[in-house]
Amino acid sequence: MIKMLFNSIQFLIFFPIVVLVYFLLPHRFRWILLLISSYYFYMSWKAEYIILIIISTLVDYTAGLQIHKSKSHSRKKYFLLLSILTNLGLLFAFKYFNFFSDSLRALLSSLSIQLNPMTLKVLLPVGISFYTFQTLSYTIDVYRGKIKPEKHLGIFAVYVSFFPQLVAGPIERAKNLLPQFYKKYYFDYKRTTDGIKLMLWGFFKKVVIADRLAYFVNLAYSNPGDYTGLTLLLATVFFAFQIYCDFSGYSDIAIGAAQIMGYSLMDNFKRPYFSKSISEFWKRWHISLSTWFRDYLYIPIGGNRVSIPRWYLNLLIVFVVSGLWHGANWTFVVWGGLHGFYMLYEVATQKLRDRIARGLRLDKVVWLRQGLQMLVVFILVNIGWIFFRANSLSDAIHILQVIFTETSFNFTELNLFISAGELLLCIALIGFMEFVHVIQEHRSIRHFMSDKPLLLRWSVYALLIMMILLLGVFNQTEFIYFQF
Amino acid sequence: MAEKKAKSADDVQKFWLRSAILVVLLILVLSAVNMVYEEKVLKQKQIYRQEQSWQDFRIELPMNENGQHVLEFAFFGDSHARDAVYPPSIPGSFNFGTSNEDYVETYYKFVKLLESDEMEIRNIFLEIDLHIFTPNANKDETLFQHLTYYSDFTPLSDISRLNKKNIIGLWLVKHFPVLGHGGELIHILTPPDSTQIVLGWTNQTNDFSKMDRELLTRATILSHFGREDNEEIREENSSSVDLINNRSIDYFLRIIRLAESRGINIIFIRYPVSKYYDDAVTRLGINKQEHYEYLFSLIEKDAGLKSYKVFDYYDIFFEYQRLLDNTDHLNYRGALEFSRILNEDLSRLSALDRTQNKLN
Repeated sequence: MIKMLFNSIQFLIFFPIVVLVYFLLPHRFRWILLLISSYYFYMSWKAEYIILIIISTLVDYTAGLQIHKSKSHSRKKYFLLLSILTNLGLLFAFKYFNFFSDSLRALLSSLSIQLNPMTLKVLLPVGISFYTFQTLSYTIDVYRGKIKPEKHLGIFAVYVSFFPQLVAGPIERAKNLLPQFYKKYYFDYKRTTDGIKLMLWGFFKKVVIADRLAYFVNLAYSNPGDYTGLTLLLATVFFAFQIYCDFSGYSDIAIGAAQIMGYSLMDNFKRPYFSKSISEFWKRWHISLSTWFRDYLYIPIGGNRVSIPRWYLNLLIVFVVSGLWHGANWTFVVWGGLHGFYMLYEVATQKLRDRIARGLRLDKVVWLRQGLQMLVVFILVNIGWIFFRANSLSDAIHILQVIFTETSFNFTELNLFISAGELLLCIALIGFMEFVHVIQEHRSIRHFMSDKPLLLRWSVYALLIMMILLLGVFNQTEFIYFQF
Repeated sequence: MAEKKAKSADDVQKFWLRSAILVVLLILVLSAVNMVYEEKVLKQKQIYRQEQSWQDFRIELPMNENGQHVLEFAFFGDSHARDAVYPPSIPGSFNFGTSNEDYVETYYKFVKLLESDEMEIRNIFLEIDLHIFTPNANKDETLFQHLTYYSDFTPLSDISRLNKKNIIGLWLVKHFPVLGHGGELIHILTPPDSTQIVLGWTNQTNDFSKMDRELLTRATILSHFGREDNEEIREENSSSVDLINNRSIDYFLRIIRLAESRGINIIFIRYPVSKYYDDAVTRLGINKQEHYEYLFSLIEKDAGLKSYKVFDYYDIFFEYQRLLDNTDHLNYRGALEFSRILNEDLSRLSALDRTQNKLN
């Protein structure tokens, strides 16, 4: 079987067939189609790993029912623990075991103790961080009494494996998604075309922008020692847009695909680079994960209803864990920790910064203050991205050093093997996307378009499709977030 | 419920109708853009100009008694061959080398020459430079990159099997080569400086002696062997460099068998590189002697070739950086000098034996 990426021909054949059969089937059989197609979709990656999804499904299904049925609190806790240990156990074994093993070996070696802890020769199952977190939220919500357990095993299995969001989110809550599988959806022209438009926008971001930028980013980051400060700076800014377009593009395709079949998935991105603070950034970036950590980690460990030092510690814990969620590498831990420190700095200096802004009369010039805030947040986020993207901590530190000490804005120093035309094209494409984002900040793009004449609307859609076809990079690069 | 069903049926009809109109419009626009792209951009690319040069040259070649045109020397390989062999210096020769060419592609090109172009070829030169079979220089994604060119004489099913790309996608790109290449339409307004092509040879004008030789060599070594010539990396990863990609070697041996079956002489050739390149290769720990012993054991055992010649020019320009375009390619000065030497060696058969033992 060939891997079924959203940006592959396979998916462009698979998806319309599923939709067609879906609307032809009587409602009571649709869950079977969704389950088969979701398992088929997943098995196109690595067939044997479907067993992990099945284990997670069966354990959480049973745990949910038992938690609800149990009278004793300890028995409820026992089943909750079973679900947590199973899901986190899978995640640990397949994603983190080798990381901890290697780190232990390095630590012991630094103490002159030679020991070779066991390592596992396993590939990371695609999407494991997403579906384990999704099912975990289900059992925790059942335990908290927020939702009733799902009695239909088939429907529950579809909830765990629903193909549009299976491998890279959004991480859906049972409360939102499960009831939707019981609703009967008819084909609806507006809903379908809205879904297709969202998918097209996602494809545009992925194949036209993200994959185009990826070429330059990969060159610079694979061998940072060979590039100048200006080149590394440009590659870092390009990476900021690459990762946004890659991941939000995936989310748009997922949300659009689900929408065509009638399902409503949660928004995952809201133009994060327009954030005026780091806390706002996390309300706009990977929203389904941020809210997951808020609800299932930050609040349970006390949130901000504790002493100030403890609150700060809670913030740091959440961000470091979030970093580790993104990847089993110290670079991700540092990235998470860095965002934790940004948050601490932000909450600790809020009053002081407000006072300075008033002193400089920036509060009178709102647009200037907001512009500066956006710029500062963008720079801070980019510093974080250096750790996120670099192959190692030493690479990241080298890149930071070169950018901050050796960058001169002499464009003849750009040694990224990028032609002026290609550079301008990249900038123009990012500019076009941000122009759309500016409109979206004030008004939904759908509403913005809906009152325009038909000819203009169709021309815009045709232009978008032509841009995807002509400027897309079609070598089927994987979505960055599949590795998490 | 009935109302919803009726609305849904109307919606389905409306959706299909509008989709059909949009698709037809898009195909029309795409076809027009594609036509412009093929004429103004695609045909200006080196590989198409080289093919045009070949077709013009072919019909001028002498004919044998069967009415086939006869080519004395055909040079195959990648950009090393393409930049080094200047055919006007070697009468009766044509340079078929192209950038990043994999022996898989060479095989289909060779079959095309024999079958579609109905050529009689007397001698073929096959490049055996160190990187020519490496997995890093022969990746799936770069195989049959010039799809419109190769698909004229290679079945799409073969291409799909070999580069692991979806056949429907390949079909689309074959018929609409502008897909994914729309950015190149800018060349209509600002035409790039085309490299001069003479019987397949390309005229390279850089002077390696005036360049950052260490940096360029590092980048080339990385692209050829997938390994950095760097102290830290070497210590971390002491395993030997993989020089053989089974798919490329398989098609290389197929070429040899095919040539043998047609009575074509086979000559293996190693092109000149810089001393910087050789030093980097040595630092990577590549055992050249072992590699070539293995390669020739395959040629002799698997392809059953007993009689062949080897021309080795690997080190002839080690001290002449100004003859190089970069660390592993000749510029026009180097190509003229090299082709003169090659032609002399071809004229003196004794030279073949002299070079046979030099591969290490």
